[in-house]
Amino acid sequence: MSLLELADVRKNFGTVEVLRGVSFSVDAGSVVGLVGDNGAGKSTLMKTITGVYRPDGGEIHFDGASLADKDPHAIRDLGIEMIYQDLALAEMRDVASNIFLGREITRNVLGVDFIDYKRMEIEAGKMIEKLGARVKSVRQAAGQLSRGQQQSVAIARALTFNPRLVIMDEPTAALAVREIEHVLDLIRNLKSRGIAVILISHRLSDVFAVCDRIVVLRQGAVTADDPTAATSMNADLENTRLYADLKEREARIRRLVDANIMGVFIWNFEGVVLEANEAFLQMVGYRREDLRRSRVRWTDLTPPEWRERDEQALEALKTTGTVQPFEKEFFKKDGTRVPVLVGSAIFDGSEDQGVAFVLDLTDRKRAEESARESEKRYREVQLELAHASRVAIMGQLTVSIAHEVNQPIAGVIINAATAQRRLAHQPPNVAGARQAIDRLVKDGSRAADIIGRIRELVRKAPAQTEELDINEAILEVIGLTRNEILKNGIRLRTQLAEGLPAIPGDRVQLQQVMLNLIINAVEAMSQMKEGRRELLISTGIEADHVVVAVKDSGPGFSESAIEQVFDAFYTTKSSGLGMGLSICRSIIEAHGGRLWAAANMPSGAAFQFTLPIAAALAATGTAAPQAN
Amino acid sequence: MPILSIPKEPFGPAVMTAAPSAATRWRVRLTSATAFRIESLLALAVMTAVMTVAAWPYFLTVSNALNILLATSTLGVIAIGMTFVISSAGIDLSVGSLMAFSGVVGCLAVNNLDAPWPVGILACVIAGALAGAVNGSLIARAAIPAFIVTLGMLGVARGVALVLTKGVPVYGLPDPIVYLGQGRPWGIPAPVILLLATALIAHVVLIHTRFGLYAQVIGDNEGAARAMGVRVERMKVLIYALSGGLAGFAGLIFAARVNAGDPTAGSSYELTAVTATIVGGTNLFGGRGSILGTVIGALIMGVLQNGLNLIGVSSYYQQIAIGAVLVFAVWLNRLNRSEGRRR
Repeated sequence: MSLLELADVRKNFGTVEVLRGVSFSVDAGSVVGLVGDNGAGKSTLMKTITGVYRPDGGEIHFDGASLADKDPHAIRDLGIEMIYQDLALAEMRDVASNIFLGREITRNVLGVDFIDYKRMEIEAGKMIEKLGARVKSVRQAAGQLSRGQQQSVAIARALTFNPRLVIMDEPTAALAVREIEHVLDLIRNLKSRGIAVILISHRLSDVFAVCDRIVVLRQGAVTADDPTAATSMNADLENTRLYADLKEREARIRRLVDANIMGVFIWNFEGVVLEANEAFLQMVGYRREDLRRSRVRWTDLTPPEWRERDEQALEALKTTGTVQPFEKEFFKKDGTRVPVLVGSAIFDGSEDQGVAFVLDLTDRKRAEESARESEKRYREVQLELAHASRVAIMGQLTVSIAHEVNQPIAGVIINAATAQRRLAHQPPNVAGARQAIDRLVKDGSRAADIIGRIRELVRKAPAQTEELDINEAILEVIGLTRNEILKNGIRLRTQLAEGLPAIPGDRVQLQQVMLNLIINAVEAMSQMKEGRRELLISTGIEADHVVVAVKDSGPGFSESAIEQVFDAFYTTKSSGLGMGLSICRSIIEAHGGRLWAAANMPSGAAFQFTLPIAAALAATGTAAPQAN
Repeated sequence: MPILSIPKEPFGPAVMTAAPSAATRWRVRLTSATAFRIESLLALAVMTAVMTVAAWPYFLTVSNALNILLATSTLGVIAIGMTFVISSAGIDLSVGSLMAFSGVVGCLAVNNLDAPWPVGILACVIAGALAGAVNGSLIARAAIPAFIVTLGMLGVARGVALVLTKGVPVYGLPDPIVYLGQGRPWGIPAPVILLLATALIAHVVLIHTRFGLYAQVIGDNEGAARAMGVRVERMKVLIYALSGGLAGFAGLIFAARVNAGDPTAGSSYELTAVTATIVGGTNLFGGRGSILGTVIGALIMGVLQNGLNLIGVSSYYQQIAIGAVLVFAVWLNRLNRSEGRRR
């Protein structure tokens, strides 16, 4: 004879059959788990047992007595307690009133039962203390307690009246993991005292942990109830769960592939593409049918020049199992190529298959191309600027240049006149005339030379690298500026080192730098009211660099301005654009060198730049200005 | 009291604080176990002070104070019944009509049926209680909202009273009954004594008996009450019967005071009674009631009406004032509720 026996219990709400003949039994001191989906009828079944609902059919016996005509109060008196999921607490009543709700302790005075709050509070306090619940006072309103505390009150209420069967509806649903363990301990404790427990829970782990038997309710009927095989059922459910886990993991991997965020294909060493996702097929322009029918081969997708790289990758795969992403190309179906990044790994446990991850680099390559394009455009603009700056300087130098050109022309005229006079002499002084004509030719070619150089500077020529003698290039610039230097009463000193190696560079650009530095120095000193005006131009060699210095004895500049002078649009001149030094620096840097400024001793500014010599340039691979 | 001993401490170390001091306990008892609020007492004091000044010197006299108490007595008795109803999250709109109906039934019983006066008294109370039981049955068993059922009863009871009397008050009651309305034992009007006695008993019933506790628990969490074995349906029938019975008792007092059964008595008393109850601190949404508060609430209503009368404000305006007080009190109640509940 079981403690609780249900036979064919039925309950309808209107036309809805919620319980359709439920039968099971609960032995004293056993824990029965009642599981089932939402809407399976668990709650209705429990409320039918506790008398809240009247069954529409079937029999419920508790300890041999029928519960059919009993109300909840009478059923509680028989020893069936229920802890409801919503806890069934009156929130405005205090803890003591809630624990004794429905069974208040009373004191009879003159035939009237008065509630004995004092005793209720004492007893409730004892119970709460025994449970170790963290409830401050039994006089606290239930509504002011935390969920955990409320649950303690509900449990205390169930245990206060010597129950023989405790029904718990989702007792762990709203609890933290730590609290769940306590509830499970409590259930074991009840069992050890011979109290039967029906545990309704969605958490199968709770059910497995404490239940002797599991009853499965489905659509209002018991579909599984095996008193002896709770453990085997446990195992079955465990298997079901593992299977579900497996399916879930498979679904996740499927998702990885089908997300089509990158190309994924599975291949074997024989060269066959076994499977591929949409992203990969789109990348190489194949369709799924091609994959199925004609067996797409990754070896055929690879252009001949990439075969060697593929061989290396296969080698790495065989030894380490993976190959880090590398760039290559694939043939598309239409014969064009697609640049890709490919990484791959062999499947564990299958020696000849692997998975490859492919990223389409077309967009990236395009972006690189456009970056190169804009770099080129930048260079062009720089060249334009440099040219404009040169022309501007030449404009400034017009007077000096005119003077420079005028001298040989004057020589030409004088020598020509001398030659004429000597030829007109009787007898003609042929030897003297030849002498004069020789000088004339020399002066003429000197003038042509100067003009040629000027034209070279003003001409808008693309940059071109040549092996050049830096001293010669500097002397030419000095020649152009000599008049400017003398005009301003500046003493020019040159210390050009002998035997410097040839420098690869653009003559015009480097001369522009020198021109700029010299003019700057001259202008700086031209404003001096007193003091020595001295310009020192020197060259030298230092490790693998040629060093060129232009030092003046002008006013110099402050520490803080030293780097600023190279900024674009920084100028101290009223007519300057402020581009000169900025352009100079970019020219020198394009040559792989460095341009910097420092204070000169004892006064003035010192500009120096370095240029790598040819051998060093080749070794370090530093870019020289490129010919476009 | 058998109690399971559970050796483990499943919910961690127990934290029981020391019992509060006697003074605190008294306060807690007064304000939390009952829903009595100090605020309602304050409101009464302020109202009295205002009326004292406004209607000087007529308001603050012993005779006027007794007048107010007398006028409040019928309302107070009705509001006490209303306190039980509202505590259970219900409402009884039929009280004014039931008061008239009961008074008429009592008067007819002694006048037309020549019943002895104790029967007349019982007839009043029983007529009201039966009508209230009908209310309760329809609400609990037929699951019709209390608002509708009692609104229906409001019409039915008033109609029956008018039909029974053909609209004319029934004059003449035996002396013992008249004494209940007009007697002055120890110089105090009898209705005032009846009100205080009713309030005392009702307070004990509400706080110290299962009936009172369950009425409040039903208003708090009906499902919990049901699950814990409270016979909710029976309780509701009893609660509305109590409300009806007290309305009948009020009808008796009123009839005794005017020595007639007036079928138009107690018109719009439902408004005033609900207002008195809510102003007294009973939770409009159920769960907590206070008889002491309700008596104070009724006094507030009495002072308000009496003061306005003395100042010379028409009773039409008084209706407006009462309506406004009701809405204001419910608004305060809501504010309290939203901050007073859980966390």
